[in-house]
Amino acid sequence: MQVGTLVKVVDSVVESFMLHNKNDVAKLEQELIEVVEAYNKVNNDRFIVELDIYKKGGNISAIFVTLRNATYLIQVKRYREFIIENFEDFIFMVSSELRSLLYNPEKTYEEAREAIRSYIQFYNEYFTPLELVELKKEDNKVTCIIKSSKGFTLIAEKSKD
Amino acid sequence: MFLNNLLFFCYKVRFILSEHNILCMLLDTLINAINGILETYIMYGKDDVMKLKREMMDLVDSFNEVNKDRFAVELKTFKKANSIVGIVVTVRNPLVNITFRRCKERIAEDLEGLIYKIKEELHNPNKTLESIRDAIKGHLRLYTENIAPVELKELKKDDDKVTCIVKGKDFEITIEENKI
Repeated sequence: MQVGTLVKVVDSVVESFMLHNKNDVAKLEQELIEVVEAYNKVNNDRFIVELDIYKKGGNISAIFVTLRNATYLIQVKRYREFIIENFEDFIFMVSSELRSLLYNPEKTYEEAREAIRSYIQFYNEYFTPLELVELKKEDNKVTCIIKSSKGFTLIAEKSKD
Repeated sequence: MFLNNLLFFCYKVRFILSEHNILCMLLDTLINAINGILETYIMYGKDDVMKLKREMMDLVDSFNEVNKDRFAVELKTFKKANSIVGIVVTVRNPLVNITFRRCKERIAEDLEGLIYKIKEELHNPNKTLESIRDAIKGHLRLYTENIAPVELKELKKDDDKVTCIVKGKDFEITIEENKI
């Protein structure tokens, strides 16, 4: 079996899962394992498969399938909406909230705090535990302090120029 | 006239073959070719990044010319003291993302990786503050050159802990490590 064929099959399986709003993740995982095993049986460059499902409020937001062997890594990604994929994305989302809190008169402190909490909750669920220590709004400055269980503290700050 | 007709005929045949996926490069071939180039590059300790980039682009262009699932290629090289310690090549299209990594040592490819590297430095009991500072600056330089700008704001040692503050765009990260 060619790698191109494997990629297309994996993509179709994930696409069909997303399109038909299926929820049986165990079945999806089983299907992907079977496809990869069938590939491994007839090829030398054997792959292992990894499935990551990101959910928000019980609904699937994105599905990532990673196929990896010793030399390279193939990722098939399907999104329904933007999701935080790493710490840089997380900081970007927090900074956007701070910017909005600083410049948008309709944005309330409570709304910003809730939004930041939801990003933290998402990050906690799929990456590493974080905790909101403080969200502070002054006249010309907003500051957010977030503590990680990995022994570091993030301070995101925005001030009016 | 004959030559023109012949050229036109060749073009038509090529178009028909390509349309029916008869004239195409297999994804496997592209993967093996990229892997081969990277292997040679790392094995012979070559340093000409521009040439490597050119080779990758030529390869992907020739794949794109005869295939429908066109790829874009991205090359990241991580350098330390002018020699390459890691290469990451990503070929991507809307469907799939293929990443090749060749690293001579562990490198920080994202912010959490950088924090981990700094923590490792802070945790080393045998190092002086100056050597820790130099090592951290090295990690920050690598991150700045390859990912996003960061700078060392403060590094201090108290009786029972070492603290490092790293500043990036819109954020600061304070990393603390207790002495062993």
